[in-house]
Amino acid sequence: MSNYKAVIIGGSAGSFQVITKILASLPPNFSLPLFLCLHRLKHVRSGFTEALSIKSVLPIVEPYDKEHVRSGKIYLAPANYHMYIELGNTFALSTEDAVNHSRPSIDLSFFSAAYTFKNKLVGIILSGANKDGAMGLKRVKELGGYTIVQDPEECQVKTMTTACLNVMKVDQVCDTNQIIKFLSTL
Amino acid sequence: MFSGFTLGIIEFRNLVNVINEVYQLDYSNFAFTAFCRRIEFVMQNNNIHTPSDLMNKIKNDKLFFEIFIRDIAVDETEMFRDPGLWRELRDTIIPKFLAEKEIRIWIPMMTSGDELFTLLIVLREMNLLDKVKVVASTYSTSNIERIKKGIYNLKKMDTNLANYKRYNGDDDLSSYYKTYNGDAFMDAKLHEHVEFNTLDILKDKYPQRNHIILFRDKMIYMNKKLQNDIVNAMHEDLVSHGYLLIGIKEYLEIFIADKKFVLENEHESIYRKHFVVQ
Repeated sequence: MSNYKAVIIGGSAGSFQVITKILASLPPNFSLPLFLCLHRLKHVRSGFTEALSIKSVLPIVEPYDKEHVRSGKIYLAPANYHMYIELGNTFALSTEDAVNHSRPSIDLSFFSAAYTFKNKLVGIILSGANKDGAMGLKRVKELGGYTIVQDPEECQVKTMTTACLNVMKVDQVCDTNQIIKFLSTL
Repeated sequence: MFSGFTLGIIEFRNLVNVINEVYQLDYSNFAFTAFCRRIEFVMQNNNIHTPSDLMNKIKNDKLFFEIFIRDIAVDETEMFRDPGLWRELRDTIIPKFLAEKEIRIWIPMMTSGDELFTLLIVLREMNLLDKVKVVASTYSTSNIERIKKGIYNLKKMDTNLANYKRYNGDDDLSSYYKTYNGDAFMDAKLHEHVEFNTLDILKDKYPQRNHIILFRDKMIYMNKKLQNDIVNAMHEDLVSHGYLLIGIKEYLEIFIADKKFVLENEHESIYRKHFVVQ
C-alpha cells in the first residue's frame, strides 16, 4: 500500500492506445481516483468516453462542475472545458482561454492537482504533439509528487514527453508495461 | 501567457477583503482556482508583480476599477457554442411561447456578448426580433458600449463559423458581420431592441416574469453557496413553466430534488420551472 492519494495522466496525439491498455490492466480494486486530461476535439461531446470505456476495468466519467472526487473512478476532462481538482476534493470546470492551444489544458489540470494533492500525487505524461503538460508535470515534482513520462522511444509522437525531459528531472521514464506495473503497486 | 497557481488561501482572503472594502464587490464565493487565475491575469495584463502591489493599486488608483472588473470577468467563449442547445431553443422552447403577447428572455451577467449575438441571430432567423424582449445585464456601462460596438477578433470567428454551420447546415454566419482590419463588426441592427442594463441578479429585483433565462457556464465560476443563491433568484424571476438554460456540465441536483425545476433535457442542460400556483 502506497502513500499516494491520486493519479493524473496527460496525453495527446498517440496516447489513445496507451490509455486503453492502461485502463484495461488496472487491478479491479484500484482505489485511487484517476484523472485523465487528454486533448480532444472540442465540439465532440459523446463517443470519446464510450471508446475509452470499452475495455476499461473501472467506470469512466466526465465530471460535472463541483462534483465530488470518488475513489475507484476514472475522470476524463470534458471537451472544451479546463478541469481543475480543488481542495475539498471537488472538480471545478472553466471556460477560460485555451492554454498551449488546448482546452482542456494538461498543464492546468496538473497544476491544480499538484496544488491539491502535493506529495500524494502521481503524475504521468504520455505521447503528444505539443508541450502542454511539461510545466504541469514539473509543478507536480516541485510540490513533492512522483513523476513519470512514457519513454519517448515508445511514443507515437515524442514532442510532449521530450518537452518534459527538457524542463525537469523526471522520476521515471517508463514504457507502457512498466507504467501498468507501477500503477498496480499503488 | 502562462498561469502559475501561485496564490494561497490567505492571499485570496486578503484580496477579497480589499476588493470588497474599496469596490463593494464580494468575490468571497468566486470559485477558488478560477479566481486565483483571474487575479494572476489581472496582474499580468497590467504589469503588477505581487498581490500586495495589486491591493495597493486597488486602494489608491481610482481609475483602475473599470480595468479590474473588465479583466477579472471571464469572457464567453464562442458564438453558437453547443449548437444542439440553440437548435432546441429554436425548435422546441421558443415555439412554446409563441401565443404570448411578448416573450421575455434575460441574459444576466453577460460578459463578452457572444451569447447575446447568438440569441439575436436565432431570433432574427425566426423573424422574432420585434416580438421578443431581450434584456441583457452586465457589470458596467462601458461594457454595454463595448458590446454594442460588436467587434470580435476575426480569428475567433473561425470557430463561430464552424459552430454556426453545425447549427444551421448550409448558411453562413458571415452574413451577420462586416470585416475590417482583422476584426469582425456585428450588424448593429441585431441589438436595436435589446434592453441593456447593469442590474445585479442578487441585489436588484427586476427583471421578472421571464420566459427564458440564459445562464450558461457562469455558475462554474461560483462556489456551491452562491450557485444556490443565484438559482433561487432566477427561479423567482421566471414565469411558471419558464426555462433556465445552463452550461452542459452544470447540474442543479438540489433544485430537482426540491421540485423547483424539472430537468427537461439532460444533454443540453435545459431546465423548466415547476408549475407554481399563483
